[in-house]
Amino acid sequence: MANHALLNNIEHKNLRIITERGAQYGDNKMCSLVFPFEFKHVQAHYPIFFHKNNDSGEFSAVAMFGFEDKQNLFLKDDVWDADYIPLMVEREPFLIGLQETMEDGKLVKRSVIHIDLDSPRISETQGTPLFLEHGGNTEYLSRASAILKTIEDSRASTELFNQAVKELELLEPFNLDITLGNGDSHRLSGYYTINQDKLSALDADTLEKLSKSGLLMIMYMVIASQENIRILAARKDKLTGK
Amino acid sequence: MSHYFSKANQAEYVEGCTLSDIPELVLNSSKPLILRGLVSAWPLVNTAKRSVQEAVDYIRMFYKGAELGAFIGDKYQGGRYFYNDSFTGFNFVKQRASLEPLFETLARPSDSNENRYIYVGSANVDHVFPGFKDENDLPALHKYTPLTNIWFGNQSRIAAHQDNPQNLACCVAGKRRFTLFPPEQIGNLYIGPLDFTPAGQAVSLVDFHQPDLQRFPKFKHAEAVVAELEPGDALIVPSLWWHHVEGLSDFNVLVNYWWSSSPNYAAAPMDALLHSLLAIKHLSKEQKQAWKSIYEHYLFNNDDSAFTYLPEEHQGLLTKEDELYARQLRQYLLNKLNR
Repeated sequence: MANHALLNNIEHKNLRIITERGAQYGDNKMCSLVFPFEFKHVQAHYPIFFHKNNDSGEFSAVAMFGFEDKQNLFLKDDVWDADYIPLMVEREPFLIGLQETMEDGKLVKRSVIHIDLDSPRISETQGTPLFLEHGGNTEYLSRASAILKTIEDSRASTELFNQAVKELELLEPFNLDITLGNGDSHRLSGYYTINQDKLSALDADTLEKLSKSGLLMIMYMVIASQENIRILAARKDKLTGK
Repeated sequence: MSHYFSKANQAEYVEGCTLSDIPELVLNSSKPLILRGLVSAWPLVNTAKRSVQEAVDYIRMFYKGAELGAFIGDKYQGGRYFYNDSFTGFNFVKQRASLEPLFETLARPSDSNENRYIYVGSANVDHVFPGFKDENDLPALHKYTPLTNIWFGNQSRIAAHQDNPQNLACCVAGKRRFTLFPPEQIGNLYIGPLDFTPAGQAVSLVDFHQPDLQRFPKFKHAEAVVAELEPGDALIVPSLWWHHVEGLSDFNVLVNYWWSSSPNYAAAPMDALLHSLLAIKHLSKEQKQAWKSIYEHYLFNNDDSAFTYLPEEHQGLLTKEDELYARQLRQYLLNKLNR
């Protein structure tokens, strides 16, 4: 059970965050949620796949770091070998929480910072402090808060992208056959990607609209990111000496 | 109930105000003033005079589904929305609700509503009942672009509290009683914590219906002004006057207007008090006395000519509204406070 708390400078006054990379801090993840606004950076390193939520039927984008659970092929000891790390990883161990308040007679939801108290990044002895001596925010905390805000502010653009790929039925399921470290072959299934032929075949009006709204570029970035599957596989082969 | 106060006066009345014309002196009065029948021509006031059901049906027409913040009290609470007995929380439940279940309970006869108390406070009229103001308007206040809120429920008692803006409160359904005190009566009212409040503002801990004079002895010196409002009546609640508000009928609706003459960039005065608690409270008596003269000199003397010896470009906020200087000051304080 997740142990999330509203971050505050009284209960959490002595908390520090270990910012190093490492499997012991939860960086041994196979993938992470990513948002269309960061695809430009994401596609420079990672394949972007889509995952379908079976309950809601909604798609969300993920960047792949490996081919099996707990496999992050970019992570070697305390180094994450890529100069962009998706914001959903960067934000750890913080989360966006919503607090309801009354403002000018309207019930509004304000985003607040929550912290995952079970995160292995949390310490009282090592790492970067969250609060200054008298309770002010450290620069580190301000940066974490800015990351959360960036994620929060991207809701609308993510929604726009998701709506477009759904309406135009651009996503299609695919399977990926790979050989695992132990030599077994493994089929990665359940992921979706953008069908390039369908995208190219859209009529001129639709393409113009997608281009003007910036969505077309983002869609091509998803397609370009497919090249990273080969690079990721090469990393795996190098790691397993094959 | 006025016998609890040694000097309970009835609030003064003003005549001749209309929906489109209220003299400046009345609007910005520093004493409570009743404007009898000011909004009696409003459709809502007229429907409410006929029956609760008609009033409920009328208001419902404007509702588009916005969520409301409701306070729900049980029969033991008796409509007094307050702290619980152990002062660890409140004697009512705050819940989000849509209009229908609230109205359903309120429109039932009072002997069949299982003694539930319902209170919806300060809901933004334009947000909750869009279009309501087109039919129930107060053009005399347009120039202030006030915040317009609606308050409704059955019997209620809201402990005395103060609000920063000037307030025109219009009783549109049911009877309402305001018991008011000038700001300087603060010491006689035994105000609760600033940071643990039933609805945002610090409140008097005294139960006005049965004051505990052992615990709150100075309350007997509190000088109240009482205003009893009928549907259609309006009341000027001057900025920062303490007011205890009672909804007396089975169904009460109030529409109020809040406005302030402060520029938009101004900070909240309460925040200045909190900052002063952080900065001044711990000082010695002598140091506090010194700061009192300094505050007096810079803030409370109301004499701008005291600073005209300074070159105008260096007078900052001392003599005039200066938005750019306010920006600079805000940034400076933000930086200084973050340590």
